[in-house]
Amino acid sequence: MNTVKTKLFLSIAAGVLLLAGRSFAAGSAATVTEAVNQVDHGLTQSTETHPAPKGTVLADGEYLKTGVKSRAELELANKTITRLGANTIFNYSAADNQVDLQTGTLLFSKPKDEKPMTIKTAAVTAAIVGTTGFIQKQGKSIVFGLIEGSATATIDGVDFTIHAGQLLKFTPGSPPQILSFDVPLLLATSPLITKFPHNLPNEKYINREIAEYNDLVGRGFIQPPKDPFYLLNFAGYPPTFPLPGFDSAGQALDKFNHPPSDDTQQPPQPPCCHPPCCHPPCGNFGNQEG
Amino acid sequence: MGLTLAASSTLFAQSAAETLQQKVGLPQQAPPPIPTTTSNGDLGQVGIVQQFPKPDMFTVSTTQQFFDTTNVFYSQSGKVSSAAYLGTYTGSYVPYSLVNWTPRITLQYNQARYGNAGSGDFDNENVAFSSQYVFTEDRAWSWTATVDLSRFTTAHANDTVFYKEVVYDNQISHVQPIGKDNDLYFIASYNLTYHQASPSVFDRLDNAFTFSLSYYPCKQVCISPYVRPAARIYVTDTSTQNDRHDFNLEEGLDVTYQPCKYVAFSADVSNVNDFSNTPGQSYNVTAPGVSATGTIRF
Repeated sequence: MNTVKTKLFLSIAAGVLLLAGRSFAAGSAATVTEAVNQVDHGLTQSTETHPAPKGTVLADGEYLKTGVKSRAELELANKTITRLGANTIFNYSAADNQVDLQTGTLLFSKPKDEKPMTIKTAAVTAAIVGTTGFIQKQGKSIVFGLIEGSATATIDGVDFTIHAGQLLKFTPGSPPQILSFDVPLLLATSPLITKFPHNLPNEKYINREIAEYNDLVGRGFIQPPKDPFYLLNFAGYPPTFPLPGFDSAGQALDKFNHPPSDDTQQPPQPPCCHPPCCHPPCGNFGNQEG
Repeated sequence: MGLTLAASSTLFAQSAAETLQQKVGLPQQAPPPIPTTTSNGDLGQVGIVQQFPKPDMFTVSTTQQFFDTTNVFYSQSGKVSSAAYLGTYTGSYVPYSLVNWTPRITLQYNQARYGNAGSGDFDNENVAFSSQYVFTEDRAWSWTATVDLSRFTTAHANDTVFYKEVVYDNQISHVQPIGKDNDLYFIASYNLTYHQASPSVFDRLDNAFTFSLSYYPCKQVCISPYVRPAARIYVTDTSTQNDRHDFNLEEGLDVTYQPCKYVAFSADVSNVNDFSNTPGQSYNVTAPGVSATGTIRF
C-alpha cells in the first residue's frame, strides 16, 4: 500500500515539476513590452487568439500577430528586443533560439553576448550574434538589412555576408542583390525606431555606426546612386610600389665583389723607371728603388 | 639579373592582381537599374546609396618566392645561373583617405639568397611614401606618385651597404574590362621613374609602359601575360660609361590562385632583355618561379 502511495506521490510530483518546468520555459520565451492597437497571440494560427497587451508573456513557440496600423515590442528570453510593424505574424522558439517571420516587418536588436540567434523566413535564413537590423517579408519579396553589426544570410544554401549599412533584397526567381542604404535616414524615419519609447540594447553601437556613416559621407565613400550603378563592392584601388633597381643593385653587387682594376680603385703604386713597365711615367715617389 | 627579373615580376604580379581587385567596380556591360529610395509605412525611408569601401588602414603581407635565374648579376659575360629564394615582407599604413585619394607609407624588406652564388645574396630595405589619386568615377584611371628610399646590404652578417637609391616614380594606370562576362581585363600603365643611386653610375631615368591582360577563368584564378618595354637613360657619365641608353624589354606570364582573401599562390615566368648602347652592359635573364603570399588587412 505504501509502495502504491509512494509511486502515486512521485508521479504527481513529477507531473507538477514537468508543468512547472514548461511554465517556466513558457514564461521565459518572450514578454510583450509594448502593444499599440490590435496585437494578438496564440499557440497556432488556426486556434483561437487572445489579445496581447503590454506585459503578456508568450509561451515558447507561441506566435504574435499585429493588425492594421498596429505595432508591438517584445523582449525575448535572450534579451533581444524585437519590434513588429503592422500586419506582422511572428513567433519565437526559445528552445531553438529562432525567430520565424511569416509575414510583415520586424526590427531586432540583439545584445552582443556572442550567442547566435537565427532569424528565419520562407526563403532566407540569417544567423546573427550581436546585431541590430530589420527583416521584411511582403508577398514573396524579402528585405534583410543591418543597422549595426554583421550577419550571414543563407539563400538556397548560398551564404551572403551582410555588414552594417547593407541590405539583401531577394525575390524568388531573381538573383539576390546586396545594396547599401542610408542608415541615418532609416533611423530618422522608421516607425519601428521613432514610435517606441525605449532605447534599443545596442544603442551605443548604433550611434557609433551613424558617426562612421557620416564620416564616410564626408570623405566621399558614400554617395547617392549614379548611373551606372555599381552593384557589387570592389576592394578599393590598389597600393602600388615602384620597382627598386634590383638590376642596378645586382650589377653593383657584382662590382662590389669584384672591384674593377682601374686607377681609381688601385692602391698607390711606386713608379717604375725600367722598361717595360714605364707607365705611368717616372716621377719622384720617394726613394723606393733602393 | 635573375633576381631583378624575378623580383620585379613578383612585384608587378602583385600590383596587377591588386589592380584587378577593383574589377567589380568597373562599369558592367549590363549594369543593374539604379535603385531608388523607397518609402515603406513600417520600415521608413530606405534610401539606397553607393558605397565605395575605404582602404584598410594597415596591410601586412609576405611573399615567399622560389625561382631559378639564368643571370644572378645581370651581366653580359660570365653569367651565373642559380636557384634562388626571395622573401618579401611588407607593411603599409594609410593614415587617412578620401574616396579618390589614398596616401600610403610602406615598409618593405627583401631577402635574396642564391643556391649557387652566395656572393649574390643580399638584403634590401625600402620605405616608400605614395599618393594615389583616382581620376574617374569608374576608377579606371589613376595617378600614383611615389618616393622610395631603398638600401641594399650584403648578407650573412656582413651588412655592408653596396647600393642605395631614391626612386621618384610617377605612374598613370588604366584598367579596362573586355568582353561581356567581366572576366577579361586590359591593364596599361606608364611609369616615369628617376633612380638617384649610389654609386651614381647607376643614376637613370626610366620611361616604361606596362601592358597586361588578366583573365579570370574562375573567381579564384587569374592568368596574366604582360609586357613591359622601357627606355632607360643613364645620366652620369664615367670613364667607362658615356651617354648610356638602354632599351629594356620584360615579358612574362603569371598565374595566381587565390583561394581566400588572405592567401595567394602564384607561378610565373619572366624574361628580360636589356639592350644597351654601352659595350658590355646588355644582359638577358630568364626566371621561372613559384610563390606564396599571405596578406592581412585591417
